[in-house]
Amino acid sequence: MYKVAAVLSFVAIMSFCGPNLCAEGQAPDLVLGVHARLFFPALGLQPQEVGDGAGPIGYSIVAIAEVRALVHLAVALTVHPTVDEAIEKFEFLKGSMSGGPTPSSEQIGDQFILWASPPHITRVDPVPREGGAVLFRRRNVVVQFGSRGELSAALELAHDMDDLIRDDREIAPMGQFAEPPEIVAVPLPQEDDAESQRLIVPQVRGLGNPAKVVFSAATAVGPQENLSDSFESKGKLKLRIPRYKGQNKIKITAVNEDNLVVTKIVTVSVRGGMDPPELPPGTLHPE
Amino acid sequence: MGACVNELCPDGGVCCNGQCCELTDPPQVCCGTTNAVCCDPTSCCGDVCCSIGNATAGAGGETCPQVSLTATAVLFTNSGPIQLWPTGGNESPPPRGWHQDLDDPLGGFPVRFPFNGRPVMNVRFRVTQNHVCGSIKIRAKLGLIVLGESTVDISGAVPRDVTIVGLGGDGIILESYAIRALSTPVNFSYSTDDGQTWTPCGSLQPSKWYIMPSLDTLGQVPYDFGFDKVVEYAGGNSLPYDIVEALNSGIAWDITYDTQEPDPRGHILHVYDAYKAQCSANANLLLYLTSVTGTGGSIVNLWGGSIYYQMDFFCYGTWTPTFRTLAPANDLVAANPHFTFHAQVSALSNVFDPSYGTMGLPVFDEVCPTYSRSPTGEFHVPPAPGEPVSTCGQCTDWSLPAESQRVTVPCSAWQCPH
Repeated sequence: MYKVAAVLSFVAIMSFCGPNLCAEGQAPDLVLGVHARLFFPALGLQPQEVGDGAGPIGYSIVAIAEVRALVHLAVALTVHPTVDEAIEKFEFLKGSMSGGPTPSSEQIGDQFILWASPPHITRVDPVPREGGAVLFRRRNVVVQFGSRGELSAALELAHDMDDLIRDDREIAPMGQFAEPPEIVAVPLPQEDDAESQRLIVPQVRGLGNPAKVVFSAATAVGPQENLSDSFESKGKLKLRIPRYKGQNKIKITAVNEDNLVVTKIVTVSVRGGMDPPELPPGTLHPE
Repeated sequence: MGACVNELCPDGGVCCNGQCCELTDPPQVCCGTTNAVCCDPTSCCGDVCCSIGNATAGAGGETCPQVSLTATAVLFTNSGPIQLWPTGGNESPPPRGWHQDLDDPLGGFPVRFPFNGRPVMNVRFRVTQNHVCGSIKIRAKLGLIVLGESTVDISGAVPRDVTIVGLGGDGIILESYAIRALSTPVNFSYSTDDGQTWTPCGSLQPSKWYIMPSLDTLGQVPYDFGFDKVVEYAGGNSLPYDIVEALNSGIAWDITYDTQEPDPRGHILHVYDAYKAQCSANANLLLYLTSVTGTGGSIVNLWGGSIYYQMDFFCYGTWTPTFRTLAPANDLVAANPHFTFHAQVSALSNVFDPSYGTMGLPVFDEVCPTYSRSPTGEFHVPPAPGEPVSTCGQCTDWSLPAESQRVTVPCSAWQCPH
C-alpha cells in the first residue's frame, strides 16, 4: 500500500562497504544523508517541516498522518558524521525519556527501544488510542518518533523506515564523506554584552551548500536558553548572547537539507547581565 | 457684492436677502430662507454659511451637522510584537500597515498591551462631506471607556482620507490589571458642537487585544497561539505568582502526562499537536508560557546520584530508573512512579511541577542502594569493607549529566523490591 516495496524495486541496490564487508583498513561506509523529500513519500507520509522557533528545519519533521492507523506522528531524523556520534545521540535520546521502555522482541536497526502507552484519550481526541514512541539507530542514522494510533502500525512504520535507510541508496546514499562534516568556526567575540543580537555566518564544511545549512543555538550549560531565531537561520545565524553574566557555553547546531547534523560548543564571556538564578535545594547540587 | 435692484442683480448674480451674490467660480448661492446669505455652494449648510475653522460662521454661531466620515483603518504603535504560529509571520506590527483596514480583505491583526500600557492609536477616516461650522472632534471608545479624543481639520475637497496620528495624545490606556484577551471593536464618533453631541462614524477592531503583564518576552518568540494559551490558563490573574501558578495548573489540566512521549520536535508549542507530554516537555512549555508573559523562570532537572553530576541507575523490573517518588496516579503515569529524571520549573523563588499541577520539589522515596566498587569496577551491595562507598541522594541542576556521567548498579548486585 505504501509503495515501499515498489520503490525499492526501482532502486538499484548498490554495493557498499558495510561494517563487515570492508577490505582491511577501509573504513565502513556511512549514510551520507537521508533525502526527506523521498523518504517520507515512500512511507506514504506527507510531512510538514518544523521551521519555527528553536527547531532547525531539516532536523525535525512533523507528519500529521491519518494513514497507517496513526493519527499523529512527530519524527526526528538525524544523520551523524560518525557511528560513534550516532550512538552518543541514541544514548542521549534514550536518557531523555523519563519513563521506562516497553520490552519488545522487535529487531529494528542496530539499536532499538520502544516506549508504548495503553489506549487513552486526550483533551482533543476522545477516541482511546495507543501511544508508540520508537527510537532506533541504523549505522550513523538515528530516528525517533512519537505516534498516536495503533502500536502495530507504529512498529510497522519503524520497520519500513529502517528498510529504506538500510537498502534504498537513492533515499539514503552511502559512502565516505569527502571531508569530515563540521562547524569549522563560529565568528563570535570572546566577550560580548548580555542579550545583544549578533547576525553571524558560521563557517562549515562537508555539509554541501553553506547557504542551505540551518543553524540554531542554545546554552549548553546552566539555565536553559534558546538563543536563535530560526526564521533567519539558513546560511546564517541570528543569535542572542545569553542573559547571564560570566562564562557561557553555547551549543551551535548545523543541519543540512539531508538531515546531516554537526554541533560545536563555543564559550562567550558575557558582560553585564544578570546573576544566574539560584537552584532550588537538593541533596546534591553544585556548590 | 452690491444691493439688488428690484430684487435683481445687474451682473446676473443671485439676489439674496437684498444683496447680490458674487459670480465666483462656481457662483455663490443664496443660502437659507429667513436670514439668507450668499455662500460658496459647498459651504451652504441649512440656513447658514459654514467653513472649517470658522467657529463664528453662521450668523448666530450656528453649527452645521452636515459631515460624513467613516473610520476605515486603525493602527496601534507601541504594541508589543506578535508572530503568527507556526509560520512566524508578522502579526503585530501588522505587515500591511494597519491592525484593521476595511480596504484590506484579509482581515485584522492582534495587538498586545502590557498592564497600564499606552499604545498610540492612529486612525484613518474617509471624509465624503465636510460642511461644518467650527472644529470637529473625533472620539474612540472601547465599550464605555473613552480611548482618546482629538480635534481634527477635515477641510478640503471630498472624498478624501484623513489620518489622525496619535488619536487622544500620548497613548490609550485600557483599565486592566489582569491577563485577558478582548475581541471588542473600537467605536468612533464625531462631534461638531464641541463634544455636546456625538454621531457614530464607524467601528474597527484588531482581531484580538492581548493584555499581558509585560512586553518583554525574555528572548522568546511571542506567538499568538502562546498568548491564546496564556489567556486560557491564566486569564484574570495579575500577580506574577498567581500567573505562573495558573499556567502550571493549566498545563497539567490540558496536557495528558505520559512518560512514554518523546519531547516534541522544533518549538515547544508543538506539544499541542498531540496534547500529550512527558515532564521535560511540560516544564519547557511552562517556561515558554511564563516567558511570553514576561514573568520567566528556569528549568530544573532532578535525578538520583551518588556524587554531584552523576546519574546512578538501579534495576527496577525491566529497566533502570534513578529514583522513585511518592505521588498519586496522574493520567498515564502510575502512582508512586519510578523515573530516570524529572523536570520542573523554578520561578519566583518557587518550584512548579506542570506535570502534576503541583508546587515544590518531589520527595525521593528511593534512590540507588549504598554501594561500593572494587578496584576492578565490581559493585557490592552492601558495600564491601575497604572499598569506597557511594551513597545516593537527590540531585538538582539546570541540565542532566552527560551520558559519560551515568552509572548503573547491576541487577546482580541489587534490584528494587517494588
